[in-house]
Parts: sequence; C-alpha cells; structure tokens
Amino acid sequence: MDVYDSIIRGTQPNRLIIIEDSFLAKGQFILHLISENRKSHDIHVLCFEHLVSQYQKLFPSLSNIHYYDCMTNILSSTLSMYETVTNIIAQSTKNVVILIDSLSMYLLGTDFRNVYKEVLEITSLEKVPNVVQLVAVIHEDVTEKHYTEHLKNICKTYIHVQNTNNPLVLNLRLEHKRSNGKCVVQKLKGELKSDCTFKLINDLLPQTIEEEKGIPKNLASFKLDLQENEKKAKEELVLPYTLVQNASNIGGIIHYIPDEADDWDEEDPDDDLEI
Amino acid sequence: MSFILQSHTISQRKNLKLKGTKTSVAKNQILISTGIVSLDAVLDGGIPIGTVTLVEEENYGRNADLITKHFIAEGVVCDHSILIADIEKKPETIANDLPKLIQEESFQPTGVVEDFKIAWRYSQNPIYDSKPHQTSISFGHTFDMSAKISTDELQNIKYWPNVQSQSTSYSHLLEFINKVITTDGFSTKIPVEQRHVLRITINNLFSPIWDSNDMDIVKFLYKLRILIRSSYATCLITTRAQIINNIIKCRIEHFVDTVLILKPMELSSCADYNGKLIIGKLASFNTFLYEPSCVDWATKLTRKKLCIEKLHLPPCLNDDENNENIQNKQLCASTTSRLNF
Repeated sequence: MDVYDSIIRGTQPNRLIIIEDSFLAKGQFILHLISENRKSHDIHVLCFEHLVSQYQKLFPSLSNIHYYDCMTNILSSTLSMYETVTNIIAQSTKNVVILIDSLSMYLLGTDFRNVYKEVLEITSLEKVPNVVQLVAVIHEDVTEKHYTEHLKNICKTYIHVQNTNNPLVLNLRLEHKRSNGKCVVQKLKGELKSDCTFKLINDLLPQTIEEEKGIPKNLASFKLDLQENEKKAKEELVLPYTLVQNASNIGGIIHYIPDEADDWDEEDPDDDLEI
Repeated sequence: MSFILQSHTISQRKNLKLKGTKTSVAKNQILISTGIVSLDAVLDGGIPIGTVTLVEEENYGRNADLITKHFIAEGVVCDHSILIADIEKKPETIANDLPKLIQEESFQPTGVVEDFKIAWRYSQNPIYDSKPHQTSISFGHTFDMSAKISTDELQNIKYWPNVQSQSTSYSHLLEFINKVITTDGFSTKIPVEQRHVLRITINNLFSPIWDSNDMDIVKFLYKLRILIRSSYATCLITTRAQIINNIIKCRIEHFVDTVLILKPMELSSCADYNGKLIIGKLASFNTFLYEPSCVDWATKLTRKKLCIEKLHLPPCLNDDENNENIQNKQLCASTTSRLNF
C-alpha cells in the first residue's frame, strides 16, 4: 500500500495526521497538497504562523478553503482551539477538514495537557462527527520531544520531514498505523518545485534491487526445470511405494499348499548342506 | 499476601470458593484468569488476587487493548464486579466492544493429518506444540473477538470518569477506587461469605491528560498497591512505553507486581506472529526468591483470537551460501570414500 498517496488523496479515513518539520525542512507543502485533493470537503485553516493574506497566496485559490486568523488575536483572544473548531462546525454543512499551522505556536500559549485534550476531542467521533480529518504541523525545533511522542501516540499517520544537503530535496518518513495494529513505515525522497508540487525521486525503491532468479542455462548436462505438461504427468504418476502405504493394498498373502514330503517338525532343513 | 483459611473445614472451604477463581496450592494464593488461556499459563496459572499488573505496549500496537478487553470480558462471564477507568476514551466505549464467549471446541486438535507421501516415517514423530505448558481448559474461558457481548449482560460495571466526577487527577481515581472497595464490600475485613472479586482496569496511564498536581504517578501506584493488597481486587494497567522516560519507568515497574512488555516483531521472517511478549516481572509472594522466566513468547493475532506462543524461528530455506558449503563438503566426502575403496 502506498501510504503517501493515500494520505495526499485522502482515500482512506484518517482522522489525525501529524507533520513534524523544522525550519530547514518545512512541511507546509503537505498541507497545500492535501488541500488541493479535498474537493468535496470544507477546508478550514487555522493560521497561527503567518497572516491570512500570506496563506491565501501560498494555498490554492479554491472556494472551499476558509482561513481563520489565530495569529493576531492569540494573545488577546480567550477562545480555545476546540471552541474555534466548534464555531466552524456550526457554520458548515459539509464534512470538515481542519488544517493547523502550526500546533507549536498554539502550544506556546497553552498548557500541553489542554492542547492534548482538545486534539482528542476534535478527533473523537462522538463529539464532532463531521470533522473527518485534522492535519497539524509541529516544529521539532520549537516543541519539546516528549510532547511530540504523546501526539504521535494518538495520531493515525505521522510524517517527519527531514532536510538533506540539497535545500530543495527533502526526505519524508511516514509512519502509518493500520487498523490491524501493524505500523507501516515508508521513506520517500522528493524535490520541492516552485509551484508547490513535490516530485518524488525514485532512488529508494527496494523492489528493483531484487532481481528475478531464473534457472541458469547450460549449467548441467540434464534438464533442470519442467514444462507444464511434464509437471502434470509427474503429479499423475503413481509411485510403487505409495501403493504399499495404502491400507487397502497392505497384506499380500502367500498361498502355500504343503505336500506330503513336508515335515513341519524338522528343525533346520538345510543343516545337511555344507556351506 | 496469604489468606487465612485454616478456621474452616474442607467442605466449608469449597463453598467459600469465589466464582471464577482458582487456588494455587503451591503459592497459597487465589488466582483469576486473564481471559486468554495461553496468557494464564505464561503467568503461572493466572493473576493473583490483590496484585497490580502493568502492560507496557511499544510502538502503537493494539495488543494491550485486547488484553484489557479479554480481562473485562472474563470478569463479565464470571460475575465479577468491574471498574473501568480511561481518560482518553470514554470508558463506556470499551465496555461496548468486549469479545463474546464461545464454546471451547476450538481446543480440540484439528483431526485430519495429511499423509506423508515420501517422508512417511516422520508421521510417527510427535507434533511439536508451541503452546505454553499446563494450558488447562477448566479454568478461564475462550472468547471470540469478531462477536460482541450484548450490552444487557454488562451490569456490574462502574466507570471512571463518570458524570459525577469529571476530574482527571490520580488522587480522584484513588479516592473512587477506595470508595468502591469499602462501600461495595471488596475489603478483606468483611466476612468470608460475602466476598466478591473486583477487577479494575486503568488505561493510558501517564497520558498527559492526567492531572498530577496533587499526587504524582509513583505515589499513586504505591497507594493503589496498599489499597489492592487489602482487598479482593486485581488491577490491570496499560500504558504506552515510549512516552515514559526511563527513570520514571523503573519506578513504576517497581511498584507494580507483574510487568508484561509487548514489543512489535522486528523480524520480517516471523510474519505469523504480530509481536513479542516479554515478562518484565512476575508477581512473587510468600518467597524471597525471584524466578525469571527464560522463554521468549510471541503474540499471535487472528481475526477471532489472541494467543501467546513460544517464539520459534522459521526454518532457513533460501540460504545459498550454506547450500554451497554443504555441497562442497559432500564432494570432499565422496572423493575420500572413493580412495578408500
């Protein structure tokens, strides 16, 4: 299963995605890619990082994307993230996708315990049934590591954006928890283009390395492989020793009719022979 | 902990036996089943009453969750009282998702053994059983995860946090457990005839939602231990291993009686198993000795059942280098034998 593809296209239900990035390798392009692919949903972006006008330039100009300025009123507003989200839900009729950029900024002003609780509440099916997805960005250079560990626990997919020597090439590490309890890890490498597309570089495909092992020709003086009809003939062949094992055929009987010269009391009939 | 039973005759003692329990004569303890028969065997018969068990799950598996559900379901079947505490999910949702009791037919050996065609002599060899020893059918039940217990059967269940107490601090939970034990009669002080068993599950210990301002986790576990020791209760705690730092983890492990660590399987060749089970600590009472278990256990999860088995490595088949070596050896052997002849 291609985890990256299913996350970007939103083909599978996935209530919480956490993107961890740093200032050298920014993960906001993933938000851009996700917002492009959620045409049938209402997308709400909570802007903690930049001004709304800047987000409007960065994100695709689609009618279903709405922006909320959380940056200028973060210091004065008493509205928590959960309250903001419930206000959003009250207004919209369609299913809602919420993008948060970034949770690290919100964590600066709010206790982690409350943030964690709010994230749990936003992603819970009972309290807000029409929020289908929450995508949050966390900066690893701002937020403490153990906070991220706690959030990794409750999310379905965790994407770590790592920088490489080339500033335009990024490494992605995706950890996706499957519903059967297994965790899939996918590593990707890609180049970030100026139009915000992420072109994957396929140098990490392990499948191509494993070559097919055919039977080498001219190795032996006899034939090593079998044709289909030969295989069939081999299976149909009844080997003599398998007949012996069949219960119905066990017990060949020796018919011996003693004649008059037979003497049953004789101890060794051959003791007169000189061997 | 030892239970004073000397004052009763044998027949009285039999009547006093609590439902769904087993007396371990060797250890002088009363055991209850975890709900997974193979896990009982791994834990030397079951979980002793009056102890605290910790299940640590690593890397986002869901085995700890399943163990909790089996533990509760076993309690439902045995008419035990149950207390479910969970602060991340609503505790009621756990109770609505319990595996259903099934008949124990699945324990019969599956009859048809295929006849060997060529290596027929091997058919006489015994089939190696990787189930833990002393898997007894008489104690504990078998559950089917694909079906659910109907909600009518869930009666003796208490939830925390509930409508009355929304606080999420350790001290409040302790107070709640204390209240249940004293008012509903699970204490060891009450007459023997009226005793019942209480099963407590606490999920997501050390989650950030816990309020540890007035009591920290280590103190909570110590006080919980005191409370559980003096009652007919058994506590099962689950937590995520990677969120706890090592110092606190050591302290936590010290204050509980049994530690089970569930790890994901790293080897891709062991695709049959979904994880490893490590016994960090086994409850040991009435002795100063500590016997560590030296077997590697693996967890196997099918659609219906979770079971614990001995970990076996699969046979190594496609190892070209080894094969070549063997061939070389055979060649050498054949040449020497020819010379001898």
